[in-house]
Amino acid sequence: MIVRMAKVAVIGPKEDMISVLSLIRKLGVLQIEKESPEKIEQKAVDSHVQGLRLDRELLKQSFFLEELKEKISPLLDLTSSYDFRESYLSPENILDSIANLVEKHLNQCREWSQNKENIAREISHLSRFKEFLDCITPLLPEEVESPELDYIGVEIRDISAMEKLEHLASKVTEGKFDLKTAQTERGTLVGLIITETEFIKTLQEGLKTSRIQDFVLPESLAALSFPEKIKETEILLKKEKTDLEALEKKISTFAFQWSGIYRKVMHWIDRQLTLIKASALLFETDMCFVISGWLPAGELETLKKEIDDRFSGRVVVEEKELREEDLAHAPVLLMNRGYFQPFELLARLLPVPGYGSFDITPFLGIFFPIFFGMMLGDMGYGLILLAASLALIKLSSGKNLQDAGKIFTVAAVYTIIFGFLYGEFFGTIGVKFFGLKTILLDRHESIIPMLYFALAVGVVHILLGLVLGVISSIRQKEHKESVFKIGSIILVLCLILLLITKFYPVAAQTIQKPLLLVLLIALPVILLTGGFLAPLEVLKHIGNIISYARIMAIGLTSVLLAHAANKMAGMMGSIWLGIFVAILLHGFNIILGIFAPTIHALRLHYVEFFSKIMAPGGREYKPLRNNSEEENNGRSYEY
Amino acid sequence: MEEAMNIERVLIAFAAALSIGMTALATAWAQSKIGSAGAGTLAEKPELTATIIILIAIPETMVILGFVIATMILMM
Repeated sequence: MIVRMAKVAVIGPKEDMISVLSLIRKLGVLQIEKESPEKIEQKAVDSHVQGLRLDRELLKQSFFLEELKEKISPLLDLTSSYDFRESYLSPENILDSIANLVEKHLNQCREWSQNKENIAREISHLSRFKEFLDCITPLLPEEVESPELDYIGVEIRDISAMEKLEHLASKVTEGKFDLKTAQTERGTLVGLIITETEFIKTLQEGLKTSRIQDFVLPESLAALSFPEKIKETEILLKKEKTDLEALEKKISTFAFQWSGIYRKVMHWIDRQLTLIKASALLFETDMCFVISGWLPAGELETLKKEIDDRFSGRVVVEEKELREEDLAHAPVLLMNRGYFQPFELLARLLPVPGYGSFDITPFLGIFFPIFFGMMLGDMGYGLILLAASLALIKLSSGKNLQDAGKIFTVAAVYTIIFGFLYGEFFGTIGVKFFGLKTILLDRHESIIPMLYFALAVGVVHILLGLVLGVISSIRQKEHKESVFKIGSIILVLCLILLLITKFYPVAAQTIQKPLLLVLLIALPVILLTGGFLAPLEVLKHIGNIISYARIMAIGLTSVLLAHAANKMAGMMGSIWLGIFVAILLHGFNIILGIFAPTIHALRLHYVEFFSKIMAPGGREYKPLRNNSEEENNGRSYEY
Repeated sequence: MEEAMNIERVLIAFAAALSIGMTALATAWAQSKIGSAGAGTLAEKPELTATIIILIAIPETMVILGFVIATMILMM
């Protein structure tokens, strides 16, 4: 149902403007509109009405808050991964102190963050180096510590890098080198090139050019022997890790103390800035402000009462008369209760309908499960889907998942109903083992009758859409459009009846001529009301009806897959293998059977049906409200 | 006579195969274009997931109708 909206004006003295906006935001029901001043009636206000200009104080406050926000935001980013203590301080009282402290805290956090990065990099480097030393040291010859010899450690990524390295070393050192390699615990290959000291610098430059990574030795370790290097590296690593822990503790303590306060202040700043931005939509006279907006008609009395209680008559709420041109601008709020409420999840996928148009949710609620059931149509699959949907409702916490669970519960019930009518329980198992009988149609055998059934469903659905389209046009006083749609309905009916007479020659003799006569009358009517392309529109309706053949096609696919699953299970030879294969194939069929009917049932609604009844172009209802649910007190709209 | 009947059966099977094969190819081509455009759209606007899924499903009409025609041919 599209909720009836009321257009209001809230008028009061300028000094109460922010308080009024704050109350409106707390109530969360009024969508503020920027209307032109000519539309605002001026009974009790001064004659000169104009868009509200923020006074100097308010502007100053706005700049101050924006600046503060820009400083607090990076600080919160730097401390986001740490626990914080909930703050109970009032942001308004501590704002000045925070403004004085934030710069200092931000610089401190940035310094800590930089130090943390440096230490982490150093630890990573030392760890790699230690890994390299642990691998290489056992392979070293005794003379590696000789003053005439020097060495370079390298990381070898692949075989081609190894060949490149050997070629480079051979070229630079004239063959006077030794290459030792070993594999680290991580599986990477490391190497040690031992050569004469005079070649080291050239070799290092060559490695840079060839993009082979060498291990840069910390200077403090250069003069030490290999075993001493390992010991010293361990000591350095331990020291860096201790430094890192101490730094983490400092940041963690700071975040615990201050993060909560900054978050609360940030939240308050956001709310204040929202109010200041909202005030840009207002109007003013010399002494008063004027807020023009829309709210659900059921909330009008609540708004009046709250404002009266708070402002003792200083601020007035006036309901404005709704004119025809206002209807095009009215925001749209969809409100459905009970059975239909979960189907809003599907309706939200489409653009918002026009204010005077139809809410598509009830139609989805009625027809979507029926089409789903017609397509899947198997008692066994329906029972599994029912169990899964109920589990989803019970175990999930999100509203969308709960709604999806409810929708599929209804769809599962219809699947079971149609499964009973088709006589299907995991394909033909119901017929073979439980004596199930086909009541409506055997989808496996009666393919053409099933096709006629699907097309008949399409005829009913499309004609319903066309009739609702006529009602919608009459409501919106588009008489030419409504005559065109009535003409289309008559033409479609005549064409269908003429088609049916092909199968009933006796009836054909009686009704063919009158039908042709009606066609001849209706055709010029739709040409006059719909233009020269009007007959194409009628053909489009016929095409839409044919599209419902997918109900047969997808249903047949499901049946044939179930049939194939049963046959393959029977061919296995062993009962347990057969059961396993049956479970696998039926499981696959269920997943496909949930996905395909959902998509195609939705498609039949969105493309074929709703194009007849829905006039899009509505505006979504977006009242001024707090963002968090707690501040909204979990408000829901009740009418 | 028997040979003529066999040829008739072959032609019927071929017609049915052509009906579903060509429409399946057309559907696959259309869905590949929509899918790749949809993937690009979703990278920027993840909230359009449901819309994109619906758009990808729309060309399936072709293969479904091809399947219906193929079934009707085989039933002849």
